Amino acid sequence: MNRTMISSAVSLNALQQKLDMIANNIANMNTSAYKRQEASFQDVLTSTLNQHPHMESPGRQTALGLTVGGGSRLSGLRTDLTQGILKQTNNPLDLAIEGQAMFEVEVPIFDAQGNPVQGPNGPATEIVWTRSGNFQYSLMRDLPGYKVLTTADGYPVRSVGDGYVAIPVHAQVQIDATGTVTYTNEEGFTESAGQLKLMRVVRPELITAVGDNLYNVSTDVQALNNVLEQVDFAGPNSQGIAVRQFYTEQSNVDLASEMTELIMVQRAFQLNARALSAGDTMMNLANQLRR
Amino acid sequence: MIRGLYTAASGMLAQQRRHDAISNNISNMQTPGYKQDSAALRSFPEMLIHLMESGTGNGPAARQIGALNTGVFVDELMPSFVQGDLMNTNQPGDLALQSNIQVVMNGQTIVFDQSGKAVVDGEVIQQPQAFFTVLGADGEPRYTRDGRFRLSEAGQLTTVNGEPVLGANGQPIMLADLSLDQVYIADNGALMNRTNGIALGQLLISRIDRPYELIREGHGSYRLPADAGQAVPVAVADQVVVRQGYLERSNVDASQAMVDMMTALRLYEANQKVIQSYDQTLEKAVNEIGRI
Repeated sequence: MNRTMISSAVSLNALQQKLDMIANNIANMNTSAYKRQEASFQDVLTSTLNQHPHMESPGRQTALGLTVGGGSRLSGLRTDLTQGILKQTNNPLDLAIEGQAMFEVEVPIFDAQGNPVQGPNGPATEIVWTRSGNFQYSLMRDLPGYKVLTTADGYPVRSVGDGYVAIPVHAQVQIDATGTVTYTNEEGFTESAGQLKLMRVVRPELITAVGDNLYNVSTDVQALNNVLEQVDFAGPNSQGIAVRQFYTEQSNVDLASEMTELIMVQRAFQLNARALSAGDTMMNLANQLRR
Repeated sequence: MIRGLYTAASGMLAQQRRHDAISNNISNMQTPGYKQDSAALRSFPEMLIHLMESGTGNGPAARQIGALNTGVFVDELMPSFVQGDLMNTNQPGDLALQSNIQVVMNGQTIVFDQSGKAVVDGEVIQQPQAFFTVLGADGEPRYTRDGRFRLSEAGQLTTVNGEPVLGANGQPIMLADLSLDQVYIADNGALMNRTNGIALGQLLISRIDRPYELIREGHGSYRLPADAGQAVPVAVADQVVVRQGYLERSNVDASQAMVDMMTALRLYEANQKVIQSYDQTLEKAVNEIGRI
């Protein structure tokens, strides 16, 4: 079989995936706290054609054997956690994170049919992380008189003690740079409603986007603490990390660089398609040897 | 005897191999650290052709016509280790090597040409190249120009394939609980903590004096065969620079690749035409000569 056609087809596939990735980044340019995905390529070696030792003739520069490549594949997928620009809003529930940290949220687990999985005490949940701080209040059946801080999708945000942040229904919140939530009670005193749990991303390479602007750690991670560690605002690991109320983080997609990359990938795609059709022409020529 | 039929067939095969190499280069136009291959063709061994004379024994001895090659084949795929362009990625784990190692021979600095070689006294000298050193799965070192490094869960600096990156002491580099954005990598490959300046080790950048001896293994890495020269760590005088936040782009020249591809295709076609013309000759010999 014609190796040209194989390697071109393999690479067209990889380039198509890269185009999809760029398209997804551009589509999420206005998603708050969206982090762009990126990947680059790697060469694939399919075979080494053995050569007889008598081919070691004078003037030969390389070692014996022809190493024949088989195109390229997409590799090194990663989430670019570069800080997005903070935009001021008038909403007290718009929170932005400065530095490499994430909020912890609780999401229900669904089975393959889309039904919620039941745990020993109520619906089962799992912990995921997000940087999207467009929070809202939700009411919970077992917390009458209180409203709970949740993400825009209604997933409860966890506090430092792994609980929820619950505030009396009529109160307004103030959130400081360490994520401490306070409100003014009916007597006019300031009361604390806990501190938002922030997790510092130690290994950005090992977190994966799971959709809805949520992130989870890769499945092969042994200990969560190696990848995400809880931010302790009294300790050194909080350096550069702050929560900003009345701000929302914009996506870190830069349209100009995405478009530049799009052009390069598209041209590479075209060139590979040309190589593929040249390979086809060669096979056609071989077929026409005997007319 | 029709020798040319097989000569043309070997020409088609050789051009196809060449085309394969070119299309593989095109496939890897976007691969960081990729070095393009070019096919070197070699002719079949020469043979001496004699004129057939009458074999009566008392005639003149058979006369020589001259030397003839009966074909061509792809002898080797020569990588070009020319420096690729640097691309800014702003990622702390992306490293690019910039190397232009000079060689002094008999008190004179050798001037290398565009392809990284020089001819001194009829001898080809290759420009030495610098590589990152990583540990292969079999425990032997591998050499790569693909500087997309990341940290494993335990804090080991690895390539995108998970191969540990070696430090100057020959051991994998461990960064423990630091993340890559807290690590500064200096021009000479020294790692230090960005916040307090504590040294964290030194990348092992290997200098390979005859880079053509390297065997490509795919996924960006090369291996030195046992009988080849040894890799040595680069010296300060080699002027090899590590750039953090940059990647070395593939050194494939798209327009040159396109031209080469067209040439290979047309040469393949020409050889095909030669075979067809031989076929017509044979047809005449078989079907028409004997017809009355």
